[in-house]
Amino acid sequence: MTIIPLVSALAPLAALFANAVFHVFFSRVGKLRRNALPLGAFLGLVILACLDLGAGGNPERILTDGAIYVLFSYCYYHFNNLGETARRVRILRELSNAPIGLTSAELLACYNAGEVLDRRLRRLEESGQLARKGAVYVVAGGAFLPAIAGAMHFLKRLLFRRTGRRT
Amino acid sequence: MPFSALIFGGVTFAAGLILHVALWRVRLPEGNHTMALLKIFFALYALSYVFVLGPWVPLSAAQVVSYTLFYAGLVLSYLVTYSALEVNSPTLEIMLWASQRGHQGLSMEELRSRMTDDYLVLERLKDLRRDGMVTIQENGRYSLSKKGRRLARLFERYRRLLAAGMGG
Repeated sequence: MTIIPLVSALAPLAALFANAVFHVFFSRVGKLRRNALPLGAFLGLVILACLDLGAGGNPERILTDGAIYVLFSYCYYHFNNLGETARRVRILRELSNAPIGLTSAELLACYNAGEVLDRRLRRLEESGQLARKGAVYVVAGGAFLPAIAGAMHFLKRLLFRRTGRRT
Repeated sequence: MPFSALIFGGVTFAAGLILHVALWRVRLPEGNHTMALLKIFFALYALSYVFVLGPWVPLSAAQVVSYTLFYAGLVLSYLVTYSALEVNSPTLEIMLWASQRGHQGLSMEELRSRMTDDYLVLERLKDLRRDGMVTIQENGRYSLSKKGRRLARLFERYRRLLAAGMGG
């Protein structure tokens, strides 16, 4: 009797694992590749709902497990984002591909500010956040991303009393 | 007590956040901030058992698991967000500058003059050296330390699993 709620409390971790498996699966399927991350998160949530409803469907359990699942999925999203956008990870990978190491000039020949900027502008344009109007870029996707940028700016000032710790 | 995991997890985390902001405003920790944050949040988790949950609010084993997972989820979510605060994100900076410019917009020349190799790439290389991921050889070449190689391999395998490119 007592083991069932204990196992049920671990349901968010099982759902997170399912989320990662579905994400990897859909990432390898051509047409669904672009939406693999939200699809994985949604199917993980479906698995969680099935597990919780199967264990009795107590509202406290559903709400608690749902909150835990959302938090861990957010961490998984960030881990995935690190591989996609983090400059430090990219530098590590460039160095990993160079058996005798790289000078800073050699590193900049394979990865430089031009590429960093082009990749970000392309992603922002593709997601509709930014649009090119003649020779300039303007905000196109509403206030969400600028609001996040503003919130991060505020937190930096709150914690570090300036807008960045390292740069 | 209903919703005990959410209530106690939220309250303990909020206490950790207040302590963290207060400490950071007095003096920034030397060295690794993530480790300093983990110590604060772990200490509060341990104290919550000693002074509150243990003597006053007995929890079932399932509630303890949920409380721990919820609290860990909050702390990890904050840590990944904090890591984005430590360094400037080019994407968010572009959006902030563009929104400040309004209809006037942001020109490519201005972006290129602000976002230089030093700012975007070489500063991150310095971070990697400081964190012990990268070492510099006598001939001036940078190479990976054991720690850096492990991290590079982790991401290489993960990206291969996703059939994804180099990223960055």
